[in-house]
Amino acid sequence: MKSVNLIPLALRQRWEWQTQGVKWALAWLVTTLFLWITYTIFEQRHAAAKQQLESEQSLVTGVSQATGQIQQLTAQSTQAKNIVENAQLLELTDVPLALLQTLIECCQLQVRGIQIDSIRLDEVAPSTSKGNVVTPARKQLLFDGVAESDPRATSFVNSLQASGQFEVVELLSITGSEDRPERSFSIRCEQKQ
Amino acid sequence: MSTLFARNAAAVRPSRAWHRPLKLGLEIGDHEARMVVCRERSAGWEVLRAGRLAYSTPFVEAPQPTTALIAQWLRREGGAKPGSLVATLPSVLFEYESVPVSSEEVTGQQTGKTAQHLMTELLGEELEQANFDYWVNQSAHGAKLHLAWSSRTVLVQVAEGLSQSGWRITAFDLPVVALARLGQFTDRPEAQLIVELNSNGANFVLSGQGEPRYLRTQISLGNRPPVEIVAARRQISAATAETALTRWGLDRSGAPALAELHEACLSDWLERLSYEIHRTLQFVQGGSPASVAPGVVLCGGAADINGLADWLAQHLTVAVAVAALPAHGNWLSAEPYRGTYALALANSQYGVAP
Repeated sequence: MKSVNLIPLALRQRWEWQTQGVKWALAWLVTTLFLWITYTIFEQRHAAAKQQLESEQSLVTGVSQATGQIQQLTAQSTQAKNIVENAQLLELTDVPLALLQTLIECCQLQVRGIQIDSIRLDEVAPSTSKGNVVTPARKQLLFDGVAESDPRATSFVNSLQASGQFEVVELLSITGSEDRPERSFSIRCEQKQ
Repeated sequence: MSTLFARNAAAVRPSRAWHRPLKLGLEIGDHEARMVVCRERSAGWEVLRAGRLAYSTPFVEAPQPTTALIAQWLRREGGAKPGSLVATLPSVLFEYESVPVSSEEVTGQQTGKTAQHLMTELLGEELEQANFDYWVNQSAHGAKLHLAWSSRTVLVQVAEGLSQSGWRITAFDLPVVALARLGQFTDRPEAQLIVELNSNGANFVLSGQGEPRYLRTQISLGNRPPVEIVAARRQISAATAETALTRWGLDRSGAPALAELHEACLSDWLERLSYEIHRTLQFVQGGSPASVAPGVVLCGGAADINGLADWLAQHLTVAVAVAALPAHGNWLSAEPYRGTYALALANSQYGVAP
């Protein structure tokens, strides 16, 4: 038997519409709330990520500035190094010139009594002194020439020693004949430290 | 409007382990409303709450304010989580008509058209003001189309009023159809005469497998219901008379003197009731004494009179019983089960297959 129901159909339909309306409104509300919560969460995370990115970028900026400074300092140090190396080179070239200049001045002191035939620039081999201190290599001049007399040769050696430019002035040899006053000599002058 | 008295509803709270929607069966009588709150379980169902509300003004005289009162009562006593509600209104609000029809007229969708046609013939232009429904009885003797209708205005007023209770109103069942449903709760569901004893008289429904086969409605048993008769004869209040009838009634084993007094007070009413039941049984048996008489099931307010079923069984020589709880039901309400709640219980089983 079919169930009997005397509630007017229009009323039942109205209630059904109301029930469905409430259900859908509730579903809409829940969905909206869910989406809003999700949006808010993502928005907060986006803001946090953005803030963190800015913080990281500020750190990177510092590093970039430091890198620029390093590069600048490196360029400056390279430039300074080149200057120092040039100065060292200049100092190395100045030494033989100074020695030669001293040699020439000493010769001039003897008023044409000394004639230099050959000059050779050489380096003294480094030696080890007491306490294992290594003496750096030094320049030495080896030259041969002719003096008009023994006294002139002796005076020439003395003037070399008196110049103060040489650590050692060594008369290696002096030769001549008895009938003639000229004397051939060979001298080694070691650069002063 | 004021309530005469209101019995408190049940005290058993539904356990939180189950969240199946509750079903409320509501019987709106002319002077009293009764409710039963049920919950379906995996095996059967259980009644969690039961209660009744009396009102001084008859329902038919003031349906709208009475409905508002009932809605308020349901909101207060029905439970925290309202579900669906099925109600019946007083029988006096309905009109019935049974029409023999051919089988072709009640086949499929043709039944609705036949019912509409018959209702138009019966009411004419007044059909616009009424709401009707129908059911069909098929038997070996042919088909019968049963029509029932009521004022649409009253139905809408009551439905809208009850919707304020918070319960979702599923249906307005007919009292006779709900009464017939009680027949399926008995041992012999194939034929039971359901007798509803209310304040206006009696309704007789022959139930076959839970379906109404034959109706006799609004049978007068006198001017006053039993409670008022006893109250007037014994000079006691209605509430005291009701308690006396419910507690001792016609049962001679407990208080014989009181039972005799009650029987003397209600003699006219009892004789009238016995006569009407006997007459109805004779009619439904078709005058054939060889056929087995259907059992009689009592329900309604007067069915609570203690010893009434035994008194009728003794005088009618048929099986008479107060509507019982079905085997698969479990009554957990603090308010004890009585025949008063049978119709409300039947309403709660609306749409449930037997």
